[in-house]
Amino acid sequence: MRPHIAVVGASLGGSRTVRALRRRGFDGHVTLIGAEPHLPYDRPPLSKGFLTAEEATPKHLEAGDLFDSVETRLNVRAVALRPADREIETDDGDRIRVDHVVVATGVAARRLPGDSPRTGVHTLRTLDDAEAVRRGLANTERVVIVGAGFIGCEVAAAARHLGVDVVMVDPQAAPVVRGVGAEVGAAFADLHRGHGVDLRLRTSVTRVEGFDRVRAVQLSDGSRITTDMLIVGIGADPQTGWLAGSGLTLNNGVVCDSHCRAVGGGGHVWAVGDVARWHSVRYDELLRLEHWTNAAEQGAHVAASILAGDAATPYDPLPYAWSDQYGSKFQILGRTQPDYETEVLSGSFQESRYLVGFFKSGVLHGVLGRSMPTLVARYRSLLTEPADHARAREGALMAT
Amino acid sequence: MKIEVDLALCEDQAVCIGLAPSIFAFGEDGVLTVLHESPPEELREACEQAEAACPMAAIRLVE
Repeated sequence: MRPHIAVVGASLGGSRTVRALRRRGFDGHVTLIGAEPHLPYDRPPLSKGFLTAEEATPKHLEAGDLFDSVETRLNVRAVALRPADREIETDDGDRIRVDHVVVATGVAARRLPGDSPRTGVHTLRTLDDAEAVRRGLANTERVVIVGAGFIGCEVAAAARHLGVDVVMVDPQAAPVVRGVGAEVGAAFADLHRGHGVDLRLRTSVTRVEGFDRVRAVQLSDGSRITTDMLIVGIGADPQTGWLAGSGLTLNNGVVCDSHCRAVGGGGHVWAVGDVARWHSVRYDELLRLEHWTNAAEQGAHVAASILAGDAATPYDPLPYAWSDQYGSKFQILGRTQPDYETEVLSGSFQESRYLVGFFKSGVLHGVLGRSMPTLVARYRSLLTEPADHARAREGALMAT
Repeated sequence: MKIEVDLALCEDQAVCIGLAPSIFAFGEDGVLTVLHESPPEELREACEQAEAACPMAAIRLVE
């Protein structure tokens, strides 16, 4: 019988897994299961250019013929996995016998606690979400954005570009604190205020008014803001509900070994992308990254590992992420935890170009650059050295 | 192995330059340049990484 590999989740991680399987010559059966009705599309533009472009055209991942070379089942959800039987069950009643399963079910945007569905309240994760946000921004004068993480900041920038008034609310002391800490976060606060965003920090939404559609929000600072549009960007949760009872270890994602094999999966269940929490050899801890580049690289790596068998190597990338805001490109290479010490290595926060180093115990662990792509790229080698403060400063003298 | 770059997609993030500095660079005009369009086999892994990590999926390896 032909070997059968099923990939559950048809976004970037899933489609890159499929691509790499075929490119590496796997000629067995491949089933790709996607919960959305769309062929795999690119998500990063959805909070960026997709919202401001003249025409809303999704960018598809891969040419369509890749998905013709496999059994692509869209609008179908996997509802159970039984590793011992090597079996997946789907919501259309099918039971699929497989040799390997790659879990790529991603994350789902978190909603406001206790909020009932009503018109004008959005999250932003899927193409359908983005189309609704796009329509909403075209027809509103004021949007309230809950959560000043990277998604919230990108949507705020897009809304300002469209001339929409923005109130952005976050309980932290600065935007993007969870990603890059308070000091760099303060630079993002200045950036958004400079572009006219009404930024309410150390503030939360206490009440959403309106029955079938939003009319206003009340904030913990006692103010009330009239609005017909609310965008909630307060993080996302791994989509692992369907794996309950599978025997896999689920703890803020599918817990995996350094090869991205799911713990409890008997060696033939793997996880890639936002849902995977694998053991990083580089950092010696469990990592779960909601980054485009991670899903792309992890999908390719796991496909190669499945085919390599015992010759497989650990998945150990240097994390990378980017964000577009107000015409600037922000790039993060390595790790930038909020408790790391920071030092501006090039430029300054008063300029439109700078590079910040993030240090843990005196060792450079990550950099964040604003509009300095060449310098960020050159730090890749320093980030594996390990480099101390002095060495990191030398790095900034490399030509830009 | 041959490298193709779709410059219409390239956004100058320079991820490829970081992963494969002997293959990719910005030219004097600031536009991404492929230094070796047919790189030797020992650079395959770096080229595959650059292809996989390009945020715009603008790089393609053709056999």
